[in-house]
Amino acid sequence: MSAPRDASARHEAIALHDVTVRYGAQVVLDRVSLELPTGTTTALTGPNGVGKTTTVRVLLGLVRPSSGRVSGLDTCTRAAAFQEDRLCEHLSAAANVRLVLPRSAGSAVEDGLRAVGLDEAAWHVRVRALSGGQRRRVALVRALLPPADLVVLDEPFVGIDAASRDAVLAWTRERLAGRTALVVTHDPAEVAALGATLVRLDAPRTVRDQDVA
Amino acid sequence: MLDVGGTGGVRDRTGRTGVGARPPRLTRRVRAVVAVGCWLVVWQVASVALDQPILLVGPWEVLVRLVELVPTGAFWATVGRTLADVVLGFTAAALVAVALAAAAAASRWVDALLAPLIATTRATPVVAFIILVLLWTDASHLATVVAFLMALPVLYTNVLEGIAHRDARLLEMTRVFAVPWPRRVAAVDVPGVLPYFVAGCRTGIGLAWKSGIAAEVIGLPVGTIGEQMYQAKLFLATADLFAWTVVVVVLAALTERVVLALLERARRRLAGEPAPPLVDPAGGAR
Repeated sequence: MSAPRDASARHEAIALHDVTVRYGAQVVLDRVSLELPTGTTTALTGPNGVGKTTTVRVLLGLVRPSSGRVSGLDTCTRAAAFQEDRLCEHLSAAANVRLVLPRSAGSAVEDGLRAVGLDEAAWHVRVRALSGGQRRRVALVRALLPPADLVVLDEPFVGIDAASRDAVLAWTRERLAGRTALVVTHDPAEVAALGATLVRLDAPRTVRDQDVA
Repeated sequence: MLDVGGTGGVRDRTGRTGVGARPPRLTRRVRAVVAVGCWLVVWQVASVALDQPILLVGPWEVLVRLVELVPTGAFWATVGRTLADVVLGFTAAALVAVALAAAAAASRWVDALLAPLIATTRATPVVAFIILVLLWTDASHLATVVAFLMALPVLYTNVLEGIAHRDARLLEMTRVFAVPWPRRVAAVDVPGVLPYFVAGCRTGIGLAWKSGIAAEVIGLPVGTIGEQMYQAKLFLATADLFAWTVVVVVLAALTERVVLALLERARRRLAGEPAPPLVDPAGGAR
């Protein structure tokens, strides 16, 4: 499995500039500006319904802004753990991860699944038979193994039990080291564990403050 | 996964009631045999009551006629000819339908171009196609062409609907990760479309057989089941007519079972599950 790309090789920082997203008359993101410093992890927090997931969708290229500009994404490869796991139900945990990796991935899949504490017996079981916490781990491994320029994790640790959360957080931090990443979370402890820069998205849906956790 | 059904019972995803609750296979089989037996009795009683063998023969006479027909080489040659024609027409329809539906899903222009063609084909009476094919060519493969034309719109519409109902969230996931298209087709597209395709096959196979036999009865290609049915009508051999009708019903059911078993094998292969035997030794529907 290849190592994550060298973040310094990227020229332009990934950023949203005064981005607004409307669905019909409804404004779901209002003039948001946000920069993801290259090679660092940014944690995005804020109350429910403020537009965090829409911000994620803009960064993943799934939503086109109604106005404003997005920079640094043109040639950017992406990986994500979505708020819903979005796993192929009929495939095994290992096959779900392999789906997004080059054929040369080798044992990286098994190493990743082991690192997040997924029992070996669960690796080759169809994911529809796994528990919510196990599925979340599979989605997290799938997001963190590909050598993508941008990694976006939307509430990635929800459903993972407290006993193994520290190990999962440590492995996540290790995989994100030196990479450009955005993690949506409501938990300050996760922000601290990931060594992330905290950005708060507040009504009226603009970034209000920014500080290093 | 279980949820509570509207009628107060516990119902699983397949609509079965109770916990894991399909009746045992033996019970289902006994019920089916009893039902068929009941109708055979009704048929026999009706034929005895009518006492007009030219109008209605009983199941016993049909069975006797079948026992006479089945051991003959001519019977199997006739069955083989019609089976090959109908299966060829249906298979061609399935392949063309998948290709056209994929093209229509990829391009609104192709969709718009095909929509009136498919709607017209669906609405045209089968007899119109039969006459047209007879005008344009000979009757030798009439059943193939007609079965193709009848099955195509059903399969096309179902596959197109299946493509439209693929899991949008999984498709977004494959976009984000830039999953190569052959992998996407195997992991997301085929599993999403397969249930619609299977439903189309169930309907399409029935249509292919009905229209194929109708075409043979009208076009009279030599050595076919349709020709045999026409001869039976000509000579008022009602037992022959019923016997060949039973043969068609059995062939249609067998074709459906084999096609569905093949599709189930394909689905399991994609899902990484062990493949079931092609023909269920217990005879249950797959």
